[in-house]
Amino acid sequence: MSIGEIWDLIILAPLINVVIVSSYYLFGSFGLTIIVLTFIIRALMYPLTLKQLQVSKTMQTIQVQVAELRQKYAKDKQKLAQEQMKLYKQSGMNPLGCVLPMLVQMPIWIALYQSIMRVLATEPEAFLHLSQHLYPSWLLVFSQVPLQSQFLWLNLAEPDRSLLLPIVVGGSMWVQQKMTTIPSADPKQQSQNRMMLWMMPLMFAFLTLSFPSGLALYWVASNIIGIVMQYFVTGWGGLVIPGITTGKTTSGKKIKGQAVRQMASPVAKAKVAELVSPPEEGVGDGNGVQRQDRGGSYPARLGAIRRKPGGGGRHRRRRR
Amino acid sequence: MITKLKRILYSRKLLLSAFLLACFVVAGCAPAGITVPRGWSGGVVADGTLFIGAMDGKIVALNTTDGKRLWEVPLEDSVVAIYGSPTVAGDLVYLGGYHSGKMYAFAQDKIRWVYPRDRAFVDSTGKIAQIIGGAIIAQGKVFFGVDNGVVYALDAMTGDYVWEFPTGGKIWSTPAIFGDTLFVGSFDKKLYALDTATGNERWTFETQGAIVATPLVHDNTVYIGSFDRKLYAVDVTTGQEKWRFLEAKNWFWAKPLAKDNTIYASNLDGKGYALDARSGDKLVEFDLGSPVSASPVLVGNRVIVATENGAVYAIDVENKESNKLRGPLQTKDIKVYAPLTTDGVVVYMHTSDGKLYAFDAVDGSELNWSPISLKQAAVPPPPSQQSSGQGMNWGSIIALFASGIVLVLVFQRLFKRRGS
Repeated sequence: MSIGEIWDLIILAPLINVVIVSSYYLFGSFGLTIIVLTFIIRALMYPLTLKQLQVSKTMQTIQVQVAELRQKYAKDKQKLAQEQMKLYKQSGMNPLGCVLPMLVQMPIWIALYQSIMRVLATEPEAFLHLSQHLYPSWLLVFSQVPLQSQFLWLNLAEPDRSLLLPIVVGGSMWVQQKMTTIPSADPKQQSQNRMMLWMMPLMFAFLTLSFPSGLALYWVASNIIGIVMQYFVTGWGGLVIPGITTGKTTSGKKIKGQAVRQMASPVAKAKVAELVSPPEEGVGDGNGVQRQDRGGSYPARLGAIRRKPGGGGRHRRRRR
Repeated sequence: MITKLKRILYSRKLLLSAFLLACFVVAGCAPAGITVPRGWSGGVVADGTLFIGAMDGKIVALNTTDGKRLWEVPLEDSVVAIYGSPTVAGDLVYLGGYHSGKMYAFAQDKIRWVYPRDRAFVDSTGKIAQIIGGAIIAQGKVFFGVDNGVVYALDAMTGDYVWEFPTGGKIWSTPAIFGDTLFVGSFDKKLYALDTATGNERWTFETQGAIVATPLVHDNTVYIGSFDRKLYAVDVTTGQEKWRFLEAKNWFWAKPLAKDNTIYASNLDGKGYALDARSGDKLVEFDLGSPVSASPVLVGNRVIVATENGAVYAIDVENKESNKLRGPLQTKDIKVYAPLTTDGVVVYMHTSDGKLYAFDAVDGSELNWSPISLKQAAVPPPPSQQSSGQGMNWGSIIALFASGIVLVLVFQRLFKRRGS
């Protein structure tokens, strides 16, 4: 059995059949099916996503300790690397957790793309091949294809030339990326952060111009779900929208405790302001106010630089 | 031991290698099964000449005696896939273009007319609407369906517009004619009966699946196969159902064939069915071993059926027995989708690699000039050899690697932070 046949058997055929049946129960709308499918996939990937978010959050919370180590071992790179490694291990971090959800989604993108090309009868050969992917015992799937390609203003088999979908894809990805960006005092790191912040959204927006909009719809739905999940785990993170995200946090007590311990160090105190309000990021209000709330709450004595009056109060009151 | 294992797992090189390997595997899987529209034109034989659409976008005229090319004309400057089989009427040959979305009429090696005149058929969004089915000529008109769901009637000599009839779905089916009624199936699951003079609807018959197969008209009955896995017999005048055959396990794609009150219908479930034309009762079932999408032909008392893997069977209409004329093609990825063609003695089979096989209908032996390659220009290779699929698939692969690179950067960044 070739790799292509294995792929068809375990990924493509199940996806195609599930998509067709789901579409039947979702008023024959393929667009709605893609959105529901995204929910299901993201729900199945929840443990992985949670791990990713936790890694991201831990990264944020140990920034101060990292800065402390950098200052302490500024002249001994080897020792610094060892100490940092120790710190990451102590924090229970596995950087692989960050990329795993994306890796897992890549085969889904491909399978979804292949499914779209088949179930919407975009080309004769692919549509003819579809007949060999349908489950003979599922009578419904044979008569339901081709599926409806129209959804809102989109033809799901074609790229969206109106530019609206690429903007939504890029925008939603930017927001998600911004929420996960970890502040850094290192200028090199900051420039890398900035590049990452724009590269992915721009790339996906560009891809939306050439991929069927059904796939782009999956990206949009997936990004929005990701943003919501991220908000409930780490808060708005690096995203600052005046009047909306200011001071908002969803951090728990444990993180707060960690932060307190971190802030107890005088070196860390000195480094905090630098870490949380990098002017190059251009996301703060100039004094680093919002950044303080990204990974968790900080001690009350740092309140003056941490948040605006009332910021994050809602969560704090809830905890009380 | 555990610490050692963890160290290995945390090894940057190992993780990066695993990631890149995963990217390659995923990229390798991406093109599997995604195809490029290449065409599956059948042929038509008239006066010792076979007219057929080649996969390099040309209509080719071949001498059936020696297989020599008499003439060829490209439909457009760029390669246009051709799915419909040519139709001959008088000195004109009619053929529809897939990518071009146009109907062409050729007189020898010259284009007589093209319709639409200026641009192409378009759908509601302005995108080119392809022509996949063939055309049929009657009463001085050429009738055909377009992917935008519209049936068109044009003047056969001049290509002037006569009438059009919109259906609710794409049309990939070739129309059939009985008297002054045109029958055509649509993706909207309906079989339409239209007045050939005016295009007015006479009746519609609704199935539960899309219709791609060409209808067969025989003995005042229209036989039509559907995606709902059923074959229907419908009265030509009233549109009332006479019977339906329910035992097939997949789509009916190929046109059925009638001989002596028996309907021969092949299915994508890899079986052929011989049915009583009056009652729909199954007389015999033939296990063909591979799906059948190519319409069969009748040569004398034999129904010749080609399966997708290239095996050819001859079914004797007298005793309803089948025997294998030819084995499957040597290469697994080469398929037979195009309808078979015959001149009454020889059967012509156009395969997905662009070759034309000519063999005797009695013993399956190939003519001395067979096979020949119909395509001369380079056309996309078979799916398994493609590094990408339909045009933009190159984009998908590049995108895949680009996103892979981005992920590697993220990954590296994380590790840099650990190691810096």
